Amino acid sequence: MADGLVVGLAVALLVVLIGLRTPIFVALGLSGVLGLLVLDGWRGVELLPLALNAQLQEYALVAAPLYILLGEALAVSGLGRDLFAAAHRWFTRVPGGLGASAVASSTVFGAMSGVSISSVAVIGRMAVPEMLSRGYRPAFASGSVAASGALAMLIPPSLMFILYSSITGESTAALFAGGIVPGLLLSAMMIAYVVGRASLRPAEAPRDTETFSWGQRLRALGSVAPALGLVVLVLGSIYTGFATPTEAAAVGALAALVMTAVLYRALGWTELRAVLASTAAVGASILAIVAAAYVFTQMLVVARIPDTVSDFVVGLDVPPWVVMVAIMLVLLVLGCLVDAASLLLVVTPILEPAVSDLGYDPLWFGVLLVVNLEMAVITPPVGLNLYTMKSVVPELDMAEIFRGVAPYLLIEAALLGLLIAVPELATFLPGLLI
Amino acid sequence: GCGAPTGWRSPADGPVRAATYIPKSYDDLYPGVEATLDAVTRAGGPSFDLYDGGTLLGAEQLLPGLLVGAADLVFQTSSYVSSSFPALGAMELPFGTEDYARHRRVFDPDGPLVALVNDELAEKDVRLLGGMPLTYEYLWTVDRPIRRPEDVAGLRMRVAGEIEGETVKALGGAPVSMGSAEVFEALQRGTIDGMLSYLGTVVSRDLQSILRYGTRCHIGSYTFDAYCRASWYAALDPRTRAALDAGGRALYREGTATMVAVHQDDYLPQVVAGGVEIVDPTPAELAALRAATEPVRARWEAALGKPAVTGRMAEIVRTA
Amino acid sequence: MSRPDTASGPLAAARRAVLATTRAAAALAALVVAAMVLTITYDALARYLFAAPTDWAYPLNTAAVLGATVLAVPHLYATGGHIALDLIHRGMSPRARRVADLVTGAATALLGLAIAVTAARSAVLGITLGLTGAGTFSIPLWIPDLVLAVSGALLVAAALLFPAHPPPDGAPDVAALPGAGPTTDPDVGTGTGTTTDTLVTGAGHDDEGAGR
Ligand code: NA
Ligand code: NA
Repeated sequence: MADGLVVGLAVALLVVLIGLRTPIFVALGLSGVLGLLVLDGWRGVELLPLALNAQLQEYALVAAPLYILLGEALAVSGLGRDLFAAAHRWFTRVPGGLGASAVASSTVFGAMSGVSISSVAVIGRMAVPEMLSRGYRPAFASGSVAASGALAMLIPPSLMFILYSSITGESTAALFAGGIVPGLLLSAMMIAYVVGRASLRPAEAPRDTETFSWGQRLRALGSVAPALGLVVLVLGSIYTGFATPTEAAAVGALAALVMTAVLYRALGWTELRAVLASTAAVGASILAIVAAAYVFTQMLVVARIPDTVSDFVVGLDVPPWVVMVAIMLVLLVLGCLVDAASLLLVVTPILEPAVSDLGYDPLWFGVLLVVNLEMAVITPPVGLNLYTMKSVVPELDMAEIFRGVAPYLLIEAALLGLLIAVPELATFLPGLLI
Repeated sequence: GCGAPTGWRSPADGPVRAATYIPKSYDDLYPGVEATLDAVTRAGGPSFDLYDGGTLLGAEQLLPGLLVGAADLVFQTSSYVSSSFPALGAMELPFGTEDYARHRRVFDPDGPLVALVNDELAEKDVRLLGGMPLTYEYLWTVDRPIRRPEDVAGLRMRVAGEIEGETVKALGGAPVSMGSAEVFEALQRGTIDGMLSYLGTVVSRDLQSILRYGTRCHIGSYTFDAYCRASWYAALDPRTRAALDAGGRALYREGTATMVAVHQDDYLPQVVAGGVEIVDPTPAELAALRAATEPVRARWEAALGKPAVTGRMAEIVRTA
Repeated sequence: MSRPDTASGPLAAARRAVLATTRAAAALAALVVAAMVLTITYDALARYLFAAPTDWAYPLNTAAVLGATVLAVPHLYATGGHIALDLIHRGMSPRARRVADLVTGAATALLGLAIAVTAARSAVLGITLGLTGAGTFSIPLWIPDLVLAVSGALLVAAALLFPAHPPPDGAPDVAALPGAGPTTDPDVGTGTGTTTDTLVTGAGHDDEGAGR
């Protein structure tokens, strides 16, 4: 059988299994193994333990469970509530102030958490009911949280950058630095949109009548100071050169546990056990996909698909930026259908060699890819943040949630265009810090 | 028995699958890979299907991948093999020869040392077809030059292999393992103070912009080798075996010549231009370094556990 | 389909035994994560304060990621905690859903079998030939292979004994998920263990949690 046909059948099997609600790691792993068996006989199957060992024993991934633990520890602390309360006190005079507060809290929470759904859940659980009770339209309220929750992937620490590093060998610290400016820019663009829309259509987001004294504002800021201190500790220790991203994750996770126990008094043995158990569960559910995606990738490698794609892309007689825009469009479509981690894991080994051959910086491409993932997690039908939003605020209608995030796709597309036009937005800081 | 060769193929089934973790950009080592495969095919052997850059098998997977039959020919740095199969350590020991020309002669695939190594590897179903004895490693540092063993005391030195690790310990430093992708930042942040490596590691990761000193002596060395399974080789027809042997010779002769020329004419000038001061210890300092690293040989002899073999290997190295 | 922990009979006994084993493996995975935090912190401190980095922290923690992942995977399957997409499945007739779930069970068992067999062969090879990783502190290669083989075998058992989705009465209950934490305060929980009718993700429905 021709290699191309085998790969096509393996992809078809993958799609069918995913449609049947087979766990994604099983779908990826089994279609990869069967593809290898047909392409290569038994010696292809022998690649299975080699691939699992190679991908899961990749040092860059050591940071992944540690950042998940850090987020899980903070999630039980009640910090999300404090963050939102503080942001509310500062944004109360602004049109759409609660929406802006939600984006701002997601931004700060995103600087502590590496996973977007935990940000949506923690911020959404407080912010959305609050907005609804003050007369905000459901689409406006849920859109601001579902979209800004994804900032956790772009603003370091970021599980997606860790995964990209584990595939390409790009430095995790440099990728983290590359996400800072685009992440803050995206956050600012989202806040500007929320404020602008609330000014133009006050009916969607009624003005806040509450007023807060400067004393109240400063006290609210004081209550989140330990958390901000943790951000400074984690990111600061990476960029001052005190620690590697992995060490910063371990020390940060330990500090988050201590903070939750001592400052928030929310961590006994029962809670510690639950935090560790959920870290293992969340970590394993993601890393199982990471490992299985690598098995699938090995099947593509044996069939020489990355070489073929690279030769094709480099051979195209068009300016490189056209190729880049085309890649972004393909990713947008795939992002509707595939979850963020699988998308990153499967397309990176195929596209990164081609993009490098075109003369682009792989670090910059990693940042672009993560902005694409920002879109992927909020595009239906497969958009993790949308369903997380629905599950934490069940009274929301899915159609309202879809409608609410649509404008943010345009904002993210604009950021993509900006990053393609001005690559320094992503590459300047890594060059300076690393 | 175990690991039954159900998936193994003979060259009659099509191109032989070869794999290496070296990408095309390593212009000191990659030409050796190409020279080997060309020579085999020219000598009437099989054609090859090469997966480079670790796409099929990464550095840690090449040897297990070879042994389960996922590839039939692998190109691998000896340090990844010698921790499992210490026989190769004969070429890696600090101050083993002290003269690169002799060091290079010792590794002739038709010479007695490779024959002895292959006798040992045969027990593990591995065959060394031939290899390139890489130019000697350097002790690279950022803060201070190393001239005497005392200079290493307390330093955190990145190593890639077991014998290198023993060497750093013997000098009073702390060996640190890390992936080569992390070395640049680790040096910059002071996570490590230096490293033990050959020139290629420095140039491929642009480390000359951060390293300040490179101590030049025979502190260690790896070989970059072509391996196949011994049983697979034995089952081939004599003509194919001879073609593979020709490939091993090409790696040793042409590959080594290219590598040495690239190191002398390109890599070393690049490293010096990057601001690294090359430090040549005096005879007295060399003697002190040699004496301090003497325990490494004893550790290696114990690891192999065959005094007759290690004695014979030492004799070959001395008289080459 | 009855809940595994309340029914009786040989099948129920087998389920209880497998669930106890997968739960123990998942608890071990959680402990591995805790050990990672402590050993990496220790290594960083030893390096900074005493210039004495360990030679074991790097290789052990690299292997620990594999351990923490594959030890938890069978329990996540048994308790419906893996990431899966429910878009088409929920629109199916009950009969079609049963078929889909059987396919999922078979696919999972097949993958588990492939992992168990190849990893066991690799482990035997590693023991026979004495293969170890490179470096000053080298872990014998058969150890991660054995962990993989055990995980593959447990995955086969879980796939054969447990339905491909959480049983109806163990269904979406965000508050009971690990990660929601033990607190009853709805403000104080994380959604990483979110389950919806559209997407099953990231955490088990085993309300005893994996961490015991
Ligand atoms: Na983040
Ligand atoms: Na999507």
